[in-house]
Amino acid sequence: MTLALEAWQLAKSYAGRQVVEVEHLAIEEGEVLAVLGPNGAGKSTLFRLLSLIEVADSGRIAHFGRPVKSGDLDARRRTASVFQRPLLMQGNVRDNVAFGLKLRRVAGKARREKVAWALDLMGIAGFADADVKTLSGGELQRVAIARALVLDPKILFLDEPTSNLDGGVRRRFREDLRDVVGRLGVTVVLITHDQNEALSLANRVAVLREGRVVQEGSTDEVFARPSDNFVADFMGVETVWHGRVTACVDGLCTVLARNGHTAEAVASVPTAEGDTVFLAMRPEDIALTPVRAGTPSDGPAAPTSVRNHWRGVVEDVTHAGPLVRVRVALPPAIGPGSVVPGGPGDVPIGVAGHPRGSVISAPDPREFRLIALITRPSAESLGIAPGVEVEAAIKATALHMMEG
Amino acid sequence: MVAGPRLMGIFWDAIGQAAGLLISPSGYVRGVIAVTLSVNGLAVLVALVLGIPFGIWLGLTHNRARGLLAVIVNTGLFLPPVVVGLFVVMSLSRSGPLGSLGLLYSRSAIVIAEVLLAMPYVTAITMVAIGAVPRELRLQALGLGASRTQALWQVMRDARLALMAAVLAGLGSIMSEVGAAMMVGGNIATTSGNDTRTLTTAIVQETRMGNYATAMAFSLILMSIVFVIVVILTRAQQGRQGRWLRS
Repeated sequence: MTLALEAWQLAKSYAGRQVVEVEHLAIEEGEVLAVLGPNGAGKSTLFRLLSLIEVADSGRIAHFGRPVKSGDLDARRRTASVFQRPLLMQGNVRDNVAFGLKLRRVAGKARREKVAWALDLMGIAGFADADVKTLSGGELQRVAIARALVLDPKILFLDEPTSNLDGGVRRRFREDLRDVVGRLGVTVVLITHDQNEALSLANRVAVLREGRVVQEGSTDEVFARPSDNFVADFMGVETVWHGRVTACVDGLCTVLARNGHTAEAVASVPTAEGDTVFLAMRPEDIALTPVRAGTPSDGPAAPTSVRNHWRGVVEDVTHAGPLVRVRVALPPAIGPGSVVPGGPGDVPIGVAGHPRGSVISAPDPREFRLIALITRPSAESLGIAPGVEVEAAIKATALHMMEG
Repeated sequence: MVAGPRLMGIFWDAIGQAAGLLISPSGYVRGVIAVTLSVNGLAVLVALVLGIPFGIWLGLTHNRARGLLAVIVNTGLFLPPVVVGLFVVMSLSRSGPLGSLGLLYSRSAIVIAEVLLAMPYVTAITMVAIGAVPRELRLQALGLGASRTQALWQVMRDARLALMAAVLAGLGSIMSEVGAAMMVGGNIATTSGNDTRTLTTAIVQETRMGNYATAMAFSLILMSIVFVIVVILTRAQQGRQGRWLRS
């Protein structure tokens, strides 16, 4: 497979502050790579460096195996960029779409045909003669994409293309964009802070933190197996516990969390007894069952293959479309100030290296709660509401263990 | 002291004579107009050629040096013409650093002084005009394959209303300039072709000599020239709006 874009040791700083420091980044031809990160992670700077709009302080970039530089106009003209704000010129849609062609001195019939093709591709042929001032946000962004695609770019750079759009318009725009990009087979570098955008458009994700790529892999891989607490948090894994491995048998590890609860997880990375780890639980993987009167206080309410069960009380219920986000408060099994058990077979908990018999450190308050995402009918039929005692369950295979 | 009715008589008399001079100007008047147009025209051209690129650079640059230079440029807006005149006289006088050029009391000396006076206006307004154009506009043009020059051209096209204001301000400061022109040009009116008398310095000279009609004629000519130029530039400025939409 040909690499469409490759960058090595790419660095950029402003006023002494290192904004981008990317060791290596590679994008295969036809791939859609989402560079995902929070605000201030250096995404837009990386975007400008990779698209040759800005000059890097150091590092190398190659497009299709050929070294390229910021001043290389031919290389830049084999790409096209779309920014968050679709800055358009006064005039009609057709003239705006033709802008890049005019810069390349494409004229006459060739230009008219290309523009017509791009307008049709983005479903805006009906607005060709409309003044851009009369267009909606979604239509403006379609014009911006058409203006880029009309140039037949080998690499298309998109900087937060849907962040200015709302609700249904955003969803439809994403669907159409995915369809068009897939049809054309164009290589895409998508800059976004929105996991949903990355999920819906990209097949690979690079997570950026403070200018560095902290995890890179397929979309499924990064979402299902975040490499660290930051990535997990950023990917929307709201429940993350810190703990220590107490036993590992045939790849199934038992972890004593800092909140005092025990969990079982399948080790996805080499893990040994005594290792400190993070346990990440995706909200959609957590199942809730109301605790009925007379249910034994220990163990699951009914025999089940699910290995992890914890009792707690519903603290908050938030409706999110067809889903309901439920926050469950867990009682602390061992609270801050408790003395870590020091007897034979016991292991120290708390921060790494805590000696037995010492006082445990205070866990983050978020470690005493679980976030579950269930459907609205489930919530209604089970009577999930604040104050209700529930049992939260998650399979060992769904509980993701990361190095602590 | 001149009584009110007598002053009004002189005023109308001057207007009448000025109209006559405008209809059939004497060689002296034609000479002063020619000096004014050539000296001021060259000074405007030089001020724009130097001031606009400098202002563009300042508008696009973001570093400490830019901050310092912006302060210097803005300070230039408050430079009294006589201070500039003094500086140029001292520089071009025989014992000055540029004395060997022999430019004092020449048209070139007036051009130098007027450029020094006009450049801060041209630079400062250009700097603000270019700085006000969204950075994304230039990036967007580059992202669609514009060369650096094409991208800069897009920015300038977007800022052209304000850039025209820079041209008008530079022109205004030059056309109305009298103190420095008098000091460095010497207000010489000869027939040898080395005249340095401009319309403004001529107005001062004729007023001092009590030739109100001639002074008034020069004033009307000056205002007519300014009016024609301003009408042309204002039409060019207001004719079309900025090119890019700023949603």
